[in-house]
Amino acid sequence: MTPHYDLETFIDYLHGALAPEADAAVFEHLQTCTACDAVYDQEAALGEALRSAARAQELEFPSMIKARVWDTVRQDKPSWLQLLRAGWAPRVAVPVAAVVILAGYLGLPPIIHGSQAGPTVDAAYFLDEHNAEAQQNPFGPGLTPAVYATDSQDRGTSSADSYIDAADAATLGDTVATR
Amino acid sequence: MPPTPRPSEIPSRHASLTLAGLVLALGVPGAGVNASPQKPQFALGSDARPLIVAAAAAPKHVSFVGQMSSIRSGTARATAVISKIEHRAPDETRRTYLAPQDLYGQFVISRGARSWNVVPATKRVIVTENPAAADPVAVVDDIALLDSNYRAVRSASDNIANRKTDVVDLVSRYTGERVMRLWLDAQTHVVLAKEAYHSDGSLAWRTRFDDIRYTDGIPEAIFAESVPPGFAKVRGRSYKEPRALPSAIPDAGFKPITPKYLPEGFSLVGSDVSEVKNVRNLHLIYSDGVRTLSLFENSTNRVADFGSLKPSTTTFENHDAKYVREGPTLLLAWREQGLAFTLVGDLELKELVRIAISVVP
Repeated sequence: MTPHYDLETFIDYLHGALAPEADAAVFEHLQTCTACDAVYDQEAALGEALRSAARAQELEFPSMIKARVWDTVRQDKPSWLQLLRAGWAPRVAVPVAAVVILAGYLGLPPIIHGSQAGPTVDAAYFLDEHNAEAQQNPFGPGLTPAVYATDSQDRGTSSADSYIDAADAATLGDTVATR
Repeated sequence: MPPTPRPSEIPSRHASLTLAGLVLALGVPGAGVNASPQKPQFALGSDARPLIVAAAAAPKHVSFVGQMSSIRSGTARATAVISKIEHRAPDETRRTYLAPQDLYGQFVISRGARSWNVVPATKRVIVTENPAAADPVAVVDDIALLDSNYRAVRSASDNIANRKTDVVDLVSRYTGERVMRLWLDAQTHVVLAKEAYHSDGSLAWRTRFDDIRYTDGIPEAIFAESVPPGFAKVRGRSYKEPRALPSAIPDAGFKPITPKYLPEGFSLVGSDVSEVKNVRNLHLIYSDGVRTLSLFENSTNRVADFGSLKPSTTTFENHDAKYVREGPTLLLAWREQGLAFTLVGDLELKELVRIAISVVP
């Protein structure tokens, strides 16, 4: 007796994600198995009903799909001919020539040597930016107190300052090391 | 407005859940948590995806008051925060911090994208805007990604805060490891507790309601945005909503570099450019539906300033890098090819280094 297929397989079948042999086997099985055919019909009907509801809402294209398209576009590297052409475009070539002439005139300033100290960004700023994104996930850790503040007076509320003592951590079952 | 994709154009193999999420999150009549008096019963070990979708939509329909404890675990120590939560559907929440002591009395009122943070320690009211927090499409994207990368399995029944709950495990489709466990109120589907785990099974973070009471009678005054006497109102951070359309990505002033390697299940979900101290930072955001990974790039000639954070050093491909752990979150910073890079995520150091190596192979 041919075994029945599970829901996961039917979802993959519906979305064309099965290998050709497996796809053919599921198709053949559905012709003869009324139980599996009912499960398949239910999943297909559910998907179609939800799609109809989504269409009725005129929803915007999901941003995740846009991101994947954009990711693909960015990974499509230009040919060497396109790079050469871009490099010789007047808007690039003229400023480059000006910088080279100026550098020669001024005796190769520090910009060439890269020795000057420039601005830098607080690591806490990156942590907060990251947390702001993570917080929007309904299954993420939720709101966490900010680490970074543009005004240093607000640093007193830093979650980095709110670490509980090692002794307290021990009661929470954590692996504890001396601070 | 771009057209709604036809079924054949939807890349997710579980696109039906995406659409279910859209239907629920956007409040299509008949699809809400309270709309169905006959709640389906889920057997142990059964597919719990409908529960996940209902849980994501629950706060839009249910109001409650409760006390929540949160623990974020690092390698050697943990942080614990206890707060009182007052939530009025669909999008008003007040969180009043009770512990630790340096947060006591501080409270945050969130209404959609806007947060009103009252800080007694500095006598300030900090107003923050984060449009992504109120973006229903972003929530649906997260659920779709989650469904692509994790199996949701109802594993048990339990009681949290005197409420009967369905326990749902999120199990990686790639490794078979349980990465998260959720306790969903069996009646309202509100997430009463959740735990995330490291790859070795240890706890990364946990949130849990110690008590909860459902009520529609929360006074309006609880969410009033008033400035207490003697407090100064200041403008806080205004986070930009990440954009994914090529034409909408702001120019960071340099050519962005993306990693060639990402852990299984992660994909780019958004990007934005922010400016701090006159430095333009490109923020690339990756997610697998549960975990978020950030890659920051800027054209400064110094790595991030760690301030009071105490970083450690590591080396890869002749680059000296610094890293620091903030609870379960790890930050790794290094420079190469004239750019300063910073990776942030709830991942192991070896995984972040592997990603870092792939940025400029």
